[in-house]
Amino acid sequence: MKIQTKLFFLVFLILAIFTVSLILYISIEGNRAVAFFLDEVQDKELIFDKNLELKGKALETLVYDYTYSDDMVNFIATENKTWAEQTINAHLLFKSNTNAIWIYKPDFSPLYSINNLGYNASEEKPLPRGAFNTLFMQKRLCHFFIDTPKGLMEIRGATVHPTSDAEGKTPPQGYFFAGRLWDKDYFRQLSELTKSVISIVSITEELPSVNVQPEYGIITFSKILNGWDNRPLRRLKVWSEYPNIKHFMRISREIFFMLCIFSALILLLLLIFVTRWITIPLRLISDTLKTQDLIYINSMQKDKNEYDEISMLIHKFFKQKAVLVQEIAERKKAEEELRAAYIKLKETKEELIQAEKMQAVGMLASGVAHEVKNPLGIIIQGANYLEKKISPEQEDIFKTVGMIKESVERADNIIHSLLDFSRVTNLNLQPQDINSILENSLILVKQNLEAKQIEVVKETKQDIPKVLVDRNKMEQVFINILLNAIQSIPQKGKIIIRSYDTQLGEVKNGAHGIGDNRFKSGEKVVVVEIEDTGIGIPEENIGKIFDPFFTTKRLGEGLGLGLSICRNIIDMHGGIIEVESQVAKGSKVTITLGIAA
Amino acid sequence: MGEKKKILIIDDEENFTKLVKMNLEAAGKYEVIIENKGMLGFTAAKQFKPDLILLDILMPDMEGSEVASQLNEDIETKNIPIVFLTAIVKEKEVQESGGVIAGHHFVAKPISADRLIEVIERMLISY
Repeated sequence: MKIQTKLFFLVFLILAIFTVSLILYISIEGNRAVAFFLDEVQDKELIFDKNLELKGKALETLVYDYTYSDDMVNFIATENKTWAEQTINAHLLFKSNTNAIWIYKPDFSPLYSINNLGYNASEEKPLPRGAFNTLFMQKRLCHFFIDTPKGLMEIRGATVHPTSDAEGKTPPQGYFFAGRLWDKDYFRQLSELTKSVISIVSITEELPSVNVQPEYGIITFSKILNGWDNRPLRRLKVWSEYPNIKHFMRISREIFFMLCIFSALILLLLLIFVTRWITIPLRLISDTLKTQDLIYINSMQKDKNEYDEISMLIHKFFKQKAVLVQEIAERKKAEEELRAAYIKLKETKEELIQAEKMQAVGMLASGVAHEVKNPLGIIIQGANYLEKKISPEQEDIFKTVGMIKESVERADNIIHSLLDFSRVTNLNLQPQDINSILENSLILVKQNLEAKQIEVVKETKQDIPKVLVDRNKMEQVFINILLNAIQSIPQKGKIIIRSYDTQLGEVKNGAHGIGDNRFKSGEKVVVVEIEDTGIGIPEENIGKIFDPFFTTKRLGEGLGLGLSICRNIIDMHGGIIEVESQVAKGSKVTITLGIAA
Repeated sequence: MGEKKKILIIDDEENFTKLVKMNLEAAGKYEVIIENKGMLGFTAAKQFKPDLILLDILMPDMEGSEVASQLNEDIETKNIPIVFLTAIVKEKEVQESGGVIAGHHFVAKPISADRLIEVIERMLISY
């Protein structure tokens, strides 16, 4: 994995840990807020209940006061309404903050009622007849709610007893109920007291007993208000808002959000600086090493950090490498030179051997020439003299003299060969048509060709470029090659003569790769090929055929200088002579000459 | 038939000179005088005043070229045509150069009698 990727992972991991920690912290904080909030809810409920109780206290006190009253007992017993109208009147309602009062006889029949709600309260009874027993079965006081056309009314009631029966042990002398309407005013007061929004909802409305929404700082709870039969009649919904909690939660969210942005910024900064401090220098180093161009890391040298040192090391490395490369190149060059010198030495050695041979042959030839030619001169002159002295009928003697003359000629030819070989003759170079030289040479060997019934196939190219050669020397070369070819063919063979011009595809050396590169690649040359269907040359002799005195002919048939002379002549012309051969199939001599400029 | 031409042959090979003399004289047109010592070549030329001198180049006592320069320096002999006899130059080369190499006439050994007469005749006509 790339270091860059690893670094990214690391940064990412750190940020992830940071974020998770942050979320945990926020969550714990939130929980703490919620816990605190829940405490608040309990308090709120408690306070609310207390308020309700306090609110209802006046009503309860009124009920309590008028049910332990001998006057009340008396009034119910006598049904004299004077006392009731003087005591339990609108003034009392106002004073006790009550909206309605009902008084029942012990047989549950209504006796007296008053209200300030603007309708006949006697028609609006708080309880059906059968409810009394149930209500007061166990306790003296009761508390329930009823629906009135004006709204929900809180009712408190009690059994009436004489003051002598403080504990209410005696049978009820009557029943007393006081009601208070929970109107808008009441709710407003209650809301102000409890700092909540209070509303009455239907019992059918689903409401949890407590609902906490900390993020909004809202607490909602409900109280069930029961009817006389102890069955839920209405539900009281209390909705409180806590701005502090809301503020705290908002701040908390904001902090979280800010921290997220902060993390993102840190990540971004880390990425930028990781790229700037690590990735870019690494890439520059990599580019430098790839391209071997120091331009990439030049800027790094200015930095006073680790990369400055690395840059210096790379510079040093490249310098050392350059020195090494140069050293290697020099060593290679030296090796090449040494190899070339060795090859040259080898060639020179071979050339020296050749030259020494030639010199020896030359010295021998010029010495022999003089010493042999003089006696040959005598022999020929003698033979000439004898010829004239012989009478025509002395045929045998005549033939003998002829043989003497022929032998002198042959001996003379051999000496000429030796002289030819040894002498450095100045060439008479003229632009010549190689085909015409070939034609001339063929005429000179015509007899030899006919004697062996050899067919000559000419595949010479017409309008061939001229070559700068010594006509006689070239003729000598072709005659030599043709005579060799003729000699190699036992009887009835074929000699193919080709000539053409071409452009060399590669550098060409002298015979057997010895000598300087005679022809450059792409140089235009004229090529002459003389191919025969003769006996061929065994492979072991191919390398030796150009050596002076190498011959496969029988003793007396040749001196072994022919091809050697040919090579000398071609060498002098700056050309190349090559021989290819296959035993029993034939040989091919190829001569390559430069075109006359 | 006119007067026989006098040919002086200066060559150290006695047998060669004898046979050349025999062959030339057999042709009937020449009187041949032999001198086998190079050193005596000039004297012989002064004495016999030949029409043509056949002069060998390589001789043990004096080289043909030296004899030729002696002959060239003397008023009496300087106009006598000289044909050098050489065993070094090839007959073919001599022929190719028209028998003249570096201003001198040459014949190469071995040379047949007929060929020699041919050269002598050509020289005598041109001089």
